[in-house]
Amino acid sequence: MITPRLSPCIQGGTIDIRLGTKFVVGRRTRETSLDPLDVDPVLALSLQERHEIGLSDSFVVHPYQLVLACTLEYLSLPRDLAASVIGRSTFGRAGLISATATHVHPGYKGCLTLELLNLGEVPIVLHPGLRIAQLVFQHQGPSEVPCGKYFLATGPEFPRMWKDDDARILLNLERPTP
Amino acid sequence: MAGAGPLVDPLDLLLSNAEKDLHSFEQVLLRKEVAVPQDGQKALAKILQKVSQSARQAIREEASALGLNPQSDDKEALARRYQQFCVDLQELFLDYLRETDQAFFAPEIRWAIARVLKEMVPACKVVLRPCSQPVPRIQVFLNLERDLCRILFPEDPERLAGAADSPLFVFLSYPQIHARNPFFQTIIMSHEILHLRDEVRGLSRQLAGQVELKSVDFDALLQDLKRQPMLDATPSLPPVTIGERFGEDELRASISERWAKIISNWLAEITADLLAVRLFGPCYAVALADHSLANGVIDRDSDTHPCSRLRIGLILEELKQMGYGRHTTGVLGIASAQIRSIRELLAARPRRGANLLIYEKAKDYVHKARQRISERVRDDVGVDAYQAPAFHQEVGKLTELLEMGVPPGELLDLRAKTAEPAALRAIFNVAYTFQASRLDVLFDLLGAKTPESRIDSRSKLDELLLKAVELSEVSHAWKTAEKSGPEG
Repeated sequence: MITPRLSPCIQGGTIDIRLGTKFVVGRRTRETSLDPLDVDPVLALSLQERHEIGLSDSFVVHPYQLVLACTLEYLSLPRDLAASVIGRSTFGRAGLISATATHVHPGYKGCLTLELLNLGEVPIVLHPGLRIAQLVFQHQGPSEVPCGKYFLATGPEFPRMWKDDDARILLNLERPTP
Repeated sequence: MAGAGPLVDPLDLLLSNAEKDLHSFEQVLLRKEVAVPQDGQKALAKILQKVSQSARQAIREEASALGLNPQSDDKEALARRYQQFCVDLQELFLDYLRETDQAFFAPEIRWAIARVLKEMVPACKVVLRPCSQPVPRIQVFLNLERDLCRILFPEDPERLAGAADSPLFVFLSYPQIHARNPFFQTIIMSHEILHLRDEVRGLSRQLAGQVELKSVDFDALLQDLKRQPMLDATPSLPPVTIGERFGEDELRASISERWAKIISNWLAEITADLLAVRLFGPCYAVALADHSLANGVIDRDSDTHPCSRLRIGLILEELKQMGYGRHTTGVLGIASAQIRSIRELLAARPRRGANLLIYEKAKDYVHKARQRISERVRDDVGVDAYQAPAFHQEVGKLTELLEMGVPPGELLDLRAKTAEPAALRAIFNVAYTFQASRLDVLFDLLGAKTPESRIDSRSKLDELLLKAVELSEVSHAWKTAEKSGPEG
C-alpha cells in the first residue's frame, strides 16, 4: 500500500516515489567526531538541522552536500514483499545521488529516508512532489515483521546508532593491553 | 524650495522608516499578547499609529523640501501616497510575520488552516502567530486599512482614504507549546476558525440584537451592583458601596454596556461551539471536554466566555440531536461511550463558587435562546453537518488504516483502486476514537512494553496523525492542480 497515490506513478513495472517536505541537514558543531559507539539522542539532535517546507516551496542541495530527505509517500509492504530503491537517471545525470540505502525489508511501514548527495558542481533545486526515485519489488518468503529503528517513520530519520544491538557487545570487547 | 536638491521618493523614505519601526512593532506585539478581539483591535491600531508617526514626520519633511504647503490642494497627493504606504506597510508586516511563522509551525497544519480559512473567505489574509499563552485566539479585522486611516486622518477619513478594498485580515495566535499536537489542533480548526465563519455570516451578531434584558432583570442587576463595595475604598474610612459613589444614570449605562458585551461574546462562543460540533462531530466535544477538564475549572464565567460546563452541556445536547450517543458497537459505539463519559464527569464535578448575578442572568437568557441559536446554526451548516452514518463509514475505514500503522490520510477503495483525501474532521475523529480504544494495537505494533516505550508510542501516534493531515492536504492540492491548468 502506498499513500498518497498521485498520478502518474506506475511505470514499466516500477513505482515512482516523490520527494517529501522534510529535510535534515548536518550542522557543524564543536564535536570532533561522530563515534557510533559514543552517541546518544541529545548529541544526535545537536548535529542536525531539520527543515520543513511547504508543498510549493523549494530546497537547494549544494555541491558535495549530504541531505537526508524523505518520500512524500508512506509505504506499507506486506510480509512477503521487499523493495529496492533506485535513483532516477534524470537526477543522476545532474549529479544527484538519491539512493544509497536501497533495500526495503518485507513488512516495512513508513516513509523512506533518502540520502541525497550532490556530486555535481551546481546547486540543485528540489521541489516536494518531484519524482525522485523508483521502487522495484521482489517477492520473498513470508518473514517476521521487523520492528526496526525506523519503523513507522513519518520523516527523514537521523541515524540512531545508539540503538544498534551489537553496540553493547562492541563496547564490552576486551581491548588488548598496550 | 521647489526643485532644490535631489528628491527622495517619499515612498522609499516612508518604507525605510517603516522597516525600522516594524521591528519595534514586532517586539511590542510579542510582549503585549492581545487578549480579546476588541482590545486587540485597539492595541493594534494604537501601535500602527505609533509607526505612522514617523511616516507623518517624513511626509512633513518631504513637503517642506518640495515647498509644498500641507494645507493646500497637494494634501490630496500626499494623502494618496500615505494611503499607499499604509497598504505597503500592511503587506510588509504580513510578509515579515509569515517568515517568522514558518520557523514554528508544521507546514501541514499551516496549509490546512490556510485552506479552510480561504474556503470561507477567498480573499482573506492569514497570519499565524506563535504565542506563549496556553489558549489560542483569533482576531478578525474586517477593514484594517480603513480603521487605520480613521485614526490617521480623523478630520476627513472617507475623502482622504478613498474607497479602499482592504482584504479581511485574520490573525490567529497559536500556543507554541501545542504546535505539533494534533489533538489540540482539533480545537483550533474547529472552534477558532469557525469564529471567522460566524463573523462573515453574522450569525451571532443577529442573535445578540434579539436578546434584550427585561426590565425586572435589569433592576435586579442594578440593585446588586449598587450593593457591592468599592474595591478602592480607603481603609481608614467607613466602607462605601458602588451605589453611594456613582449616580443612577452612570450605573445604568455601565450595566447596559457590560450586558451587551457579555451577551455578544457569549453568543459568539456558543455559536462557534455549535458550528464546530455540527461540522466536526463528536471529536469537538471530546477535545473541548479534555481541554476544560484538564484545566480543572469548569464553572468560571467571564465577560468573554461562558463557563465550560454550560458550553459542554449545550454541545452534548446538539450531538444528541445529530443522532450521536445511542450506539453501542463500532466507532459510533466508542464515540457514544466518550459522550457518556463526559456527561458523567460533568455530573460528578461539584459546582464551585458563587457567580456574579450578571453571569447567572446571562446563562438564563442563553438557555432560553438555545433553540434559536441551534436552528440558526443548523440552517447555516445544512447538508455539511457530520451526521452519524458518514462518521461510521469514514472513521471506521480510517481507523482500520491506523490499526495497520498507516496514517489515515486517504480513504482507499481497494476494489475500485481509488483514493480520496480524508476530510480533516474524519482524521480528528479517528484520533480520539483510536486514543480511547485502540492504543494497545499501536503498542503491539511497536513492541512497546515498558511505560517509557509507551510514551514514545503516543508520540508516534501524534506523528502518524500529523502525517495523515499532510497526506490529505497533498492529495487535495494535487487533485485541484490536476483539474486546473492546460490539459496534457
